[in-house]
Amino acid sequence: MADTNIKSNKPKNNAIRQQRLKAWQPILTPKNVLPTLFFIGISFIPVGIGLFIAAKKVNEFTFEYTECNKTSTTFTPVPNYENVKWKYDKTQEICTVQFEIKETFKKPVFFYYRLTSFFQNHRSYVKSYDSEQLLKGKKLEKLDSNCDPFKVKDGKQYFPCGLIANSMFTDVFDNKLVKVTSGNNNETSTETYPLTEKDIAWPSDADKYGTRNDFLKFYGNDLSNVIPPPNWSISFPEYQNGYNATNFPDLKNWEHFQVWMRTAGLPNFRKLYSKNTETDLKPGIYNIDIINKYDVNRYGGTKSFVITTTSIIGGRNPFLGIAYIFVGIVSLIFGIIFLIRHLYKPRKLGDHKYLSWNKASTTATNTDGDDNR
Amino acid sequence: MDRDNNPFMTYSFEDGNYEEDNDTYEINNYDDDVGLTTGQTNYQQKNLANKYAKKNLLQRIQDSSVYASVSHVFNLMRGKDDTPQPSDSFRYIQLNDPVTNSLGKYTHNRISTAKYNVFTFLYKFLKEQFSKYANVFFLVTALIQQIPGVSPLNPLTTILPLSIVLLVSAVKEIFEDYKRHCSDNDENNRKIQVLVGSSFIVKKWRDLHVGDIVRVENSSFFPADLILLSSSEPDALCYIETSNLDGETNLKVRQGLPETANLTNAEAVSEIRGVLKSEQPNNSLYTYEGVIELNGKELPLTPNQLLLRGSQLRNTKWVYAIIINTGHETKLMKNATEAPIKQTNLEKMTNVQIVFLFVILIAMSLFCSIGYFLKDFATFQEFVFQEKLLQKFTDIIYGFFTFIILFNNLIPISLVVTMEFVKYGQSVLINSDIEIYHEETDTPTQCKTSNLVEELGQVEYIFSDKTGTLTCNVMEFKMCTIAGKSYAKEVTDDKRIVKGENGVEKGYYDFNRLIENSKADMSVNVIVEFLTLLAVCHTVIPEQSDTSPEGYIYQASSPDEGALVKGAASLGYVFTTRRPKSVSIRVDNEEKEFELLNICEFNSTRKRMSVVVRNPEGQIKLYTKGADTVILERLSGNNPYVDYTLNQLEEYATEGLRTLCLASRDIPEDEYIRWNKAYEKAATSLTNRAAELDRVAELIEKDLFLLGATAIEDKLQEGVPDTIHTLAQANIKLWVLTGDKQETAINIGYSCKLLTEEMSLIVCNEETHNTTKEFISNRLRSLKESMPAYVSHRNFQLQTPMSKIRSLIFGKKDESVDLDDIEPLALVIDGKSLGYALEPDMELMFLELATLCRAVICCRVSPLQKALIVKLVKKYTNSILLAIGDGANDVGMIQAAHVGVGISGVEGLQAARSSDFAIAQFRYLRKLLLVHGSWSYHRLSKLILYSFYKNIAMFMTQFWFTLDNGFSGQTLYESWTITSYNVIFTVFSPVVIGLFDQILNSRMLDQYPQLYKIGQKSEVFNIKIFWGWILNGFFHSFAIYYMTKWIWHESIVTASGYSADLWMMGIVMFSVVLAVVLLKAILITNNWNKFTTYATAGAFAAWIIGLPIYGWIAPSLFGISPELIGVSLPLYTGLMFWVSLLVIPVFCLLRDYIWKYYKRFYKTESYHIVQEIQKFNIPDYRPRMEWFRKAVHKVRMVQRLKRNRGYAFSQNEGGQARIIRAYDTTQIKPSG
Repeated sequence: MADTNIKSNKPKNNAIRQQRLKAWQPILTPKNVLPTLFFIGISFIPVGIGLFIAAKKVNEFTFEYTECNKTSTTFTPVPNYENVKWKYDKTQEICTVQFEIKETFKKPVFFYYRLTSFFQNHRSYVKSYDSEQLLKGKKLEKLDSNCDPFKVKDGKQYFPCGLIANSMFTDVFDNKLVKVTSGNNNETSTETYPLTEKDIAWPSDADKYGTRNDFLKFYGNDLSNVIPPPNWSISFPEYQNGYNATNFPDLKNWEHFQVWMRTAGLPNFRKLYSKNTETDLKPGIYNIDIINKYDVNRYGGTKSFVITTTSIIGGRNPFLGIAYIFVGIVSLIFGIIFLIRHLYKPRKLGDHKYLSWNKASTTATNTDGDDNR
Repeated sequence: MDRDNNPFMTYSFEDGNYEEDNDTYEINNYDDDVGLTTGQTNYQQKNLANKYAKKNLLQRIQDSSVYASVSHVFNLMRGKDDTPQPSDSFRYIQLNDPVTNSLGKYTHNRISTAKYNVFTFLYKFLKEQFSKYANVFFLVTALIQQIPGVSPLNPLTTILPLSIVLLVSAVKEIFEDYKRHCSDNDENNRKIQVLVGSSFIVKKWRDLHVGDIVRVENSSFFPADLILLSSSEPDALCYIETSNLDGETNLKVRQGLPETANLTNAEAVSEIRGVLKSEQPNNSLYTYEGVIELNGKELPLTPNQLLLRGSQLRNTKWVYAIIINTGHETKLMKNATEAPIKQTNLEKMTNVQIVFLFVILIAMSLFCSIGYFLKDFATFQEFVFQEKLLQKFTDIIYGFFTFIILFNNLIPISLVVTMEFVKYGQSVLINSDIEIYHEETDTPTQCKTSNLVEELGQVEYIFSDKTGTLTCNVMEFKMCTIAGKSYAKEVTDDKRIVKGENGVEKGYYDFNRLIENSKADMSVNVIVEFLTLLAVCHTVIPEQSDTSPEGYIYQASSPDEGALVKGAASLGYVFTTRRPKSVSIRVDNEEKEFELLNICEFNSTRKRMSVVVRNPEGQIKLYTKGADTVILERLSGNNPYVDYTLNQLEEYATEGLRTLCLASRDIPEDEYIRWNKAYEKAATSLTNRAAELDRVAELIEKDLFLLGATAIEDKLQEGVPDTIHTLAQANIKLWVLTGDKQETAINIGYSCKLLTEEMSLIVCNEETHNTTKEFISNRLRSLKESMPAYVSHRNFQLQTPMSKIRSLIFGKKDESVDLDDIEPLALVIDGKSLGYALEPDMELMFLELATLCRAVICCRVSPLQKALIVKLVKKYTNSILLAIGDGANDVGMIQAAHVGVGISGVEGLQAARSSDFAIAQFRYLRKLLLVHGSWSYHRLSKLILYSFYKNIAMFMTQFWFTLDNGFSGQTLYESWTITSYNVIFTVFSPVVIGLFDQILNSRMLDQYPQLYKIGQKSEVFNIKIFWGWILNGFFHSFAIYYMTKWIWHESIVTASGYSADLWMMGIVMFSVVLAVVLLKAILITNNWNKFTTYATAGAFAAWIIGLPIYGWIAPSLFGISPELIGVSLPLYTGLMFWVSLLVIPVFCLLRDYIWKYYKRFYKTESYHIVQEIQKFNIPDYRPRMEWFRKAVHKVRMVQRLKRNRGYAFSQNEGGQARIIRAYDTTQIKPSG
């Protein structure tokens, strides 16, 4: 139709409209499936072995001290642990754990506390904070209702409000491991392994919190209307009588708080408490003092501390390596099975005789005595 | 009364009874249950009312206009123009009195087939949308989410997508309805001449009113239901074509009352006064009751004066007629049922599965809310919250709601909109397919309802109209045999004359040779006689014309006759003039007049027509044409050409041509005089006149001399036989439902390859209920005995709502029979027998018999029967039915079927308007079904399965996580991340699959029609496959969650030693899910184009790149998603993220990959092979086989030719002589 004056309904003749787009037809044939399976097998197994070894290389010492407060005032061996002794000072609520490091922990060395059955991922828990309050303070009436039931008491706002802050882990670990001279259990040497509590939170976390000055600026003279969460008043001696201009939390620099506020994804979790990036942890027997305030018995959880090095994939976790090896082996096995089947009984690609209707009709036409082959 | 005289009386299936005696006007209301009233009293009351009305004219006009506008709005709101009727069996229409008529509160002549208007849109649209379970579910979810404290997600995360979904659907609906409005407007704005004062002026159709007198010109459509007053033809005769109404293509005659026949100019017609009493509008096409009161005389009106909207004036210059029904009150529109909302099988199944998923969802939510109680971390709660939670009952409810919201995405919200969008896209692609665009009429294929595209891939039965669908409705005089020689209009090379061994010529001469031979040949006399017969013996009326090559247009009520006369004219025997007592033909510029002495009419028992003429030489001759059977019986002993002619007839028949035998006889003068006396007596006999005339005709129709035979081609549309053959290969059963006679229908069956020689015909032509029943049950019994056991054991079950649901839940039972297993059969059933067969006690047997046949032809069926047959099959099987037709008579069946296809491209096509798909040519059905249907089915099946899968793979991780967070309903993923999953990152891959995936390319699908069975048998989307996918989704989510959890290792996942948090875990998991789900999309893609790359790799890249950017911008700029602050970079820089991203997806998809390969090689399906044929371009040896089969076929064909020669004659029965005698073409017609 050359006449362009007449508006034609003729559809446009292009690749999309006519559904003739250039396309590749992926078909699983032995030629591409078998190499793929073998490739996955051959490449995943070494990677898995590498990851497994890397995980195995991580040195780790874990000790659960939940029951520490029930022990005696002198060092006694801990059941089920080899070479670990503990004692408890009831008056000061200090638990001292003596343990042996058998191999050198290459730097950096990390010190974690570990809680189990603690549902930091509980829905009411996760959201129970007010980000603005944490950054620069917030008027009571504007406070996020998610903070309930720790939002307000007697017209005074909790700072920081909410469940997360209130339930903060309050045990204090000594900032050093004290090496015990060998042979004499009760003597302590001056040789210590220092642990720093700096840089234990994600660097970006500091941006979410205000400094003490920020808060003081906001709350000003009205500090009497801002009270610490109930647990804090009990656990932190300095907050027993509430806030004043000097003890007001400096959240931006309080990394333990920041670490706590990053709610863990699973009910068993570790949180970084301190670390040493400078020196290796030499083998030997070490003591550590723990101020034991946090009651995990009440909800049936446990608490531990973990001293560990890391690998490229984090802690001592062989699972990734095993997963790779497993996938690799499965792939290889199927590769071999399919290869044998293919060699033993191959099927010609695109053979017409496999078409269902040809199957039926070959018998039919054969009776007519034709030879269409 | 002579039944044959009135074509309308042959059908009466309305519940209203039609009184044959038109003088009594006691009549039931057809439509509504308004009481029975006698017309007479009402008539008087009405007259009084009219007088009263005139007094208060002014005020009443105002009132009525107010009423009209109010009622109009009201009607608009109901979406229907159905003005309330006064309780009266008749309407009283004043002639030439528009003012009084305007008081009649008749409806306007505008029609509206649109679904919505401005006022009803919102209501209707929302009603339709919320009839989908999914939408209701999401609305409820969205509402629950608004309750503070319940939702673990942002309150907008459901309502926003839902609004988008609804908005997109709304836009689509508006767009589609707009097109309907436009086509309505086109029709409403057509022009017509209306009498105003004493002259005709042009108005639009929409402005017509009841009582207006209109002038309709030749070949235009009637704008409303009319009563014929007068016409350009003698005695107010006119021809109409009603194919739009009933599918019958032969022209019908209507005749005005003699009292109005003389109103042949505007002045005359403007002066008539009186009242027309017309029945209230109803939907019965074949009955009419009315009285016209002229000059104090009451004259009954019958269907013979009725011109219905939808029919067309033919072969008549003009008519004057008065409007009785307008707009939606016309019988045509009354017949139009509101277009049903059709839901596809796939959608229904999806809906049922959604309900199941919903049950699972509820179960999961219940489980979790109970878990909340039972889990012994109550102590933990006490510890953390320092209060006991969940003591109030509302907390339980809240908890339950929380889980509902958390898991609500197990039911994919994007599915509905994705499906709508994809279906619309597919319909656009179908519309723009250039291969199914008809160049000559400039008509592309049109998907009117994009909803049904995938249904095209599952069709098992096609119900096709014949005329205009399979055939062009053009008859052509193709071949003839005269005096033992064959002639053809076009001679193909393989049919040219060859000299046989003994010097006998075999083959065909062309028509030029015939013209030569008619002047100088041994058989010249026979040829002359033959051609003269063609030009003389018929009921055609000639009209001079400059445009036609012969100089005349022949108006024939039978297209066959028209073709013959035209053929004779082209061979030099031009029929020129018809006078009441003679006809003239022109041969070699010489006018020859034949005196028409007697006419022996055609009817279906005689199967022949004869005329007795006196030729210019004064000899009396009998010319007869008719079916071979009846002619051969009446030949004289000395007939040299019988054997040859019979051979030829068989040959014609194999080609599906319609044949007639021609014979003549010289009648001695004395014999004629004797016979004529008998004839006169019969013609004037008072009782049994028709039978008497038939008997008399027998006396003279004997000792005939066979001149030869003609062959007319009922021209098939292009590519019809091929298409039918291909569709049969695709296991689609074609049922042809035609208004034609049995012989004609069988004929067409052969010529379009629906019937083949190896088929045994079961012809059911019974007269009574009992014989029909006997016939069907006998046949069925004997058939079952010879069949494989499974065939006879199948039993059809009524598709009750329960059984339908059951089949949707458990998959459909396959009652279909593999027809390859059984002897090829074809059923031919007559309309009358069919009527009985469709009765409740027989319908099952009939269905069973019919479904055993490869082809079914139903002849002489009414529009209602067409719809009934479709409904019958629908009732007992769960096959997908497609109906295709071109006329208004097909509308019922088109609407009843799952998929309605209309033929478009020619004017005035009701069917196309109420259809779901409109195509220009029957042959386009092939690509529409085999290619587009298959594509759509595969694409949508995959889209649905994949959409469910991807949501389950994603949101089941939330469930596993719930087990780890104390059943608190915490979400793993940040709110907007979740939303983006369905709205951004995984929306494109199903769309790309839905729009572009091709299981095979169009060439392959076309070449291997057998692959169509995949769709018919629901092999891609059925209950097993659906739950397979769901299980796979569960497995993937399980693997993803637990592998990530184990990798997570108490939050220490980077070399830097920092403790990771919940949200980091969420990000890792999200990335893994995304990788798995997008890889799965790649794995199921059959056809990877650039869009596939964008939608999969592109989406994943967008996530990886977009996340840090979003995590940086959104919290600081908009204050949303604070959870994402500083989350992504530590992960990206650590190794753990990337190795997890590799191993988990590979682990998940290794299963799918291996399984897919295993299926291809060890459970090979045909489509696997064809895919390979396509990919590696493997040549097919099929052409050779095909060729071989054809050869075998031909041999069989020749062997088995022992059946009816195709005889056909589509003449109106009765009244032929009267019409012939009425015309005198030498007189000048009134100009109107």
